[in-house]
Amino acid sequence: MLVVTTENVPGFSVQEVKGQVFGVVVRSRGLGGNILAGLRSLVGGEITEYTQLLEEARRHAVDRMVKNARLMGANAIVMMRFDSAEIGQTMSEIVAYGTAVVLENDA
Amino acid sequence: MLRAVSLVGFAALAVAGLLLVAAHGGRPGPGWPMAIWGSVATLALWIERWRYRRIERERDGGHWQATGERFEDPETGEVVEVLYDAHSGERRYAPAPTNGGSYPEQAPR
Repeated sequence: MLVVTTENVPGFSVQEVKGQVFGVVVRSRGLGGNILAGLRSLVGGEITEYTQLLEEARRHAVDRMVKNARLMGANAIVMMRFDSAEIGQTMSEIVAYGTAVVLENDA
Repeated sequence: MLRAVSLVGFAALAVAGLLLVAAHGGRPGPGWPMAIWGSVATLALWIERWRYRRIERERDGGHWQATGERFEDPETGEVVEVLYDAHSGERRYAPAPTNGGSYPEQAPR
């Protein structure tokens, strides 16, 4: 399934718009990861624990979104965007959303 | 390395706390908080299970198709390819082939 951030996909045309689709996830590194992140923040630089957390959360959200789009009968998602928020002090919410469509090759 | 050092440090704190508790005959003192929090931190660091999905080491040919998405895993530094199963909608992550090959690309029908 093609997932793009643009409205149009060169070489393809939208045959049908299935509607909005999203995938949401809330993740945390847990006590261990937060302890390590706190220790690392004392010396500065990249906090790899949180970098990895956010990378994983985005992939999890996209995977959910793709699965939902397939359930809707779409073969592509256009105008995909991310949104994020904090829940509590240690949890991160990521939502990936877009428009599920059926694309057809113009060729 | 930070993880290993922290594990050893908190484990040592827990052990020191337990020794203090034993030295005081189990009576209230500084040993109990050290033992409890040292143990909790050690356990939390040891059994941390935050990974969403491991990078699949077995690249079974099956029904997986390449999406074209690739990224560098921030933890290991290896290049990872994203695969897609059109039947189930599942996505998986596998090491990108180093010989230039890949799974067949999937294009919208």
